[in-house]
Amino acid sequence: MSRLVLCSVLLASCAHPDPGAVPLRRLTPTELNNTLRDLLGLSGDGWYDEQHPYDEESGAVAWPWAFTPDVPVDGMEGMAEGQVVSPVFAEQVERAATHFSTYTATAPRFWVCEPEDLDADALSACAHESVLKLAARAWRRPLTKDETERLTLAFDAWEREHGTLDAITLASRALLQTPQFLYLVEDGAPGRREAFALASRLSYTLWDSMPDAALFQAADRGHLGSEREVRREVRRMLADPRARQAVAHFHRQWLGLDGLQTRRTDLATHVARYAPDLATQDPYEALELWSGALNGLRSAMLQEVDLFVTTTVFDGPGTFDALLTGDRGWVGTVDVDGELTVDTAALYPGSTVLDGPVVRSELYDGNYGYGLSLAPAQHPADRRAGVLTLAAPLAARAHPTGPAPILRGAFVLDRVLCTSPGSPPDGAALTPPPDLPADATGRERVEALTAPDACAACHRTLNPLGFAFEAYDALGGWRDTDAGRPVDSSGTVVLDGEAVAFDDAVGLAGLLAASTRARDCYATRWARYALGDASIALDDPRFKAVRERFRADGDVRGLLEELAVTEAFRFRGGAL
Amino acid sequence: MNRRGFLQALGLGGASLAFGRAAWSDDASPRRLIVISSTQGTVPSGCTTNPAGLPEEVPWSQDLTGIAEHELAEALRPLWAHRDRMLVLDGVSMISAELDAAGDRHQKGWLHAWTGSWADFRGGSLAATAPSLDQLVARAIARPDRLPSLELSVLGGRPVCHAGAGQQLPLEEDPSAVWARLFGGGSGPLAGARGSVLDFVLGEYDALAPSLATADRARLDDHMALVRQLELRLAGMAQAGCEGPEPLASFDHRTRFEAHAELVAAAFACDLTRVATISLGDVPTAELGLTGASGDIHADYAHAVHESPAAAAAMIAHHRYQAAEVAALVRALEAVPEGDGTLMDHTLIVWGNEVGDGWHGYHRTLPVLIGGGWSFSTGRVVHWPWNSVPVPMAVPGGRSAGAGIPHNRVLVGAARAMGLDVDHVGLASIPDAEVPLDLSGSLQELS
Repeated sequence: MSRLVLCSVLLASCAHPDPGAVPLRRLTPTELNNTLRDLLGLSGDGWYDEQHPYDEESGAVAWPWAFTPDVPVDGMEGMAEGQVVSPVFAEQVERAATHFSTYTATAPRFWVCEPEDLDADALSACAHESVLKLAARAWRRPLTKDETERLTLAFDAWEREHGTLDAITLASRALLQTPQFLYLVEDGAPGRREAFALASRLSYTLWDSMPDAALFQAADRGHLGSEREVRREVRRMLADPRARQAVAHFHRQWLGLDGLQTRRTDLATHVARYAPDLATQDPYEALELWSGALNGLRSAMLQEVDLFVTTTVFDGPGTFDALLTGDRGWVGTVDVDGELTVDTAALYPGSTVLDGPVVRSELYDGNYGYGLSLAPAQHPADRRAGVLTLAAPLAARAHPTGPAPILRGAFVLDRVLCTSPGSPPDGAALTPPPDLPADATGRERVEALTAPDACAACHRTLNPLGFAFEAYDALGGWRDTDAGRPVDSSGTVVLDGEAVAFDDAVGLAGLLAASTRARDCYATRWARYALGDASIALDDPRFKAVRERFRADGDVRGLLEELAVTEAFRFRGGAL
Repeated sequence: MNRRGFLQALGLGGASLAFGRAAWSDDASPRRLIVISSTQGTVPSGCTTNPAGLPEEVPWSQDLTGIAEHELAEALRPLWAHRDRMLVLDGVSMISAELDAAGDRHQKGWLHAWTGSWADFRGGSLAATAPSLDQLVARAIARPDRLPSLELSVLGGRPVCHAGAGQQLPLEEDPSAVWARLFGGGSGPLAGARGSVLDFVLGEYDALAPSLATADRARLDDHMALVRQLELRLAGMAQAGCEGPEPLASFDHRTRFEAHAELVAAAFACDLTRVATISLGDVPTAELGLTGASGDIHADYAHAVHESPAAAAAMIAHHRYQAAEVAALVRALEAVPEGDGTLMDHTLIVWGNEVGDGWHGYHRTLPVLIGGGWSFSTGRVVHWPWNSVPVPMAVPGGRSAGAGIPHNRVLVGAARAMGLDVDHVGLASIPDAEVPLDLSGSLQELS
């Protein structure tokens, strides 16, 4: 056992903080879906899979499977305390296992032989071996002797009753419901993480999915022991497309985008600008199509964020600064089931479409099919700066007819600056606002509402961070005026102990990008996510070096690499 | 004819009559529970039913069956046709919520409303510290071979269902997904092997458990228990062999509620479950025909409910709209014959709210019980003075002289009506309150 770990266990006079222990956690719905995809070699193209398009019972899209989401903790999934098992979840796992296990016998790389040419006995022997290999991949480590025996006995019994091919389906169905598959189980006492456990940790952090053959091999050969070896793997993994998906997914959670599709957005206020074809229809008839229009717009917005994040982090400068101040975007059209077309250019007046590959995709939400076609664009530098000013995070925090500055301000405070906004004081008596003229702006209303002393204590800090985004309507679309008067987005924020003024969201974004607090916050959120531990503090000594480096260079990929080689990641600490 | 007209013409989807079967031929019909949880509270001016004009300072009970429609509180008027089944509880306060120091009043409210216990403040969010009423009842009355309960949401309902401390249950918003759960069957090929598959899975849990740390093992044990129940349940559901009407697409609060109501009625009729919760999100102001500044009832009206007549009217409209939805649910249940009567005769609906009023007060709440006629003497409005209990509650301008009856006792009454032998739900008492508080015991006025 290394000196480092002995030191941690003894605690006494130890320069190295204890790596800490983290509770057992289950794969998140995202991870489950990606793991099913990689384990069984599904095309993962979204809703249209030629061989198995639908789950026959519900008529719903089969992949990704609609597992119950984790309860977010600090906005993130994958935290043990948010992963409550419910009867619904157990049923969903059973249904998914039943559905996807039917793909097993035709999955690429399942068979360890050429099954077509074999007689019954040889086929059976090959099937046995193939199922054991599947189990090792599903459980992400070699099987123990006892596990091998139990699985073999079960397979024999299924084969006797149902034949070889059906036995494969049943074995697969069983494996997909076992704890070794569903949970990240780690054996053992404090010390270096066992190689296969470390491989899983790396792949679920960087890819939201199971290890690939190369990573399994590195674990098998003992090539994940040293920091140097881990760095090599991390760099290889960051160059894989799965890393782009995983990083995009992290940012969707960071930006609180999962509530986006359920927001209500008022038809009357927005239809003329965003779905003009519907403006002349009967409102009740238009309601259904309006929901389709909204879902289409939001899907495009979400894809824009994914593209912005992945191109910035992987193809571009890859810095925190670029994330928060970059002026790129993706705009284009969404065909809603052939009935209507919406165009996200309506959100971004003044943006210029650039030469570059158009990204096309298809989605299905159970009601409509959507055909998206987004082109790279440049947003005007005086209107948009970075990910916080893209439409999606703004639309995620809005009221039906306009922006929700309090929510937007609380978001910046909490998610970007890691400062909890707190709750309204108990029994907050809301004295009625002074009579406002009918043409009061949204900003004026909120200011009047939060003016009383009981409210101002928190709101004087909170409000400006939300007012900064007043120039973006309920869908994140640019607006110059509110209630007929020019939008006022100016304010002050205290950053790193100093009060600084800004004129608008672009100005605020620049200040946030440079601030130490925002960098520490971002780095710490990645640490929490990587370890599945939402309680990691901004000054946690285990990540001091990681934070200091990120303050200096703001390099996002570098951050992930540094996190993966910390002792907290590679070692296991004291018992819970 | 558009979809809404179609539904109305058929009286909430005439298909209601097509499903299910009269499951029981005598009145040993099982009892069902439906919890309905609303948001943003009520408004005293629109929620008071006092046909005889009796004084507030004394407890009383008045008959509802003989009253005229306009004598029923405005916010409850759509339920007038069902007044013989109702117990309107006028004089109940969420005292435990008031005495809970930490957290946002909405979140605290929806936890206290249905668990009767403290909220656990964990940094930015609150978690339950005890199971909710629906889960307590489900645990006691659910058939092991059917769904223990259904948890449904209408346009973003609050998370009011908790299996236990820190165990928030997911709510299903999509009626199609609910349908698949109830009627999806699972009669595909190899359905018979399901049991042996789950046996293998349980074997792996058993083998793994000893090597885990205690807390980790407890988590896996919970999961294992569910897999065990699942085996029984899936076999039972498959055997039930019921068909349910496929829900129409729904895009607003009313139609979503109605879709869920039909599914609940179908599920009860076929004994696929005996407990359901429908958690209602805010009704969009556009659906109420209101045009507020932001379109959000919380931002535009709820807070000003004591100061602004327009806001009070809006919140009464909000409550009334939901009363109409509840009435539709009652009709859906009455449409299913069962035993000597209908499904509604064997059902208890408990309709509550996360707060007393939109100002975030907990003083004046308005729980309504519908059904439960085997246990309650229905068709009445029961009043307790608003200062029955000497605990001051936050009210506009300061503190009240006292509080109404603690809502925990309404939960006890409901639990007992469902056959649970309990004398408290959540907290039994708050011994170290300003005045030691007893939260236990049912309310004899209900019987």
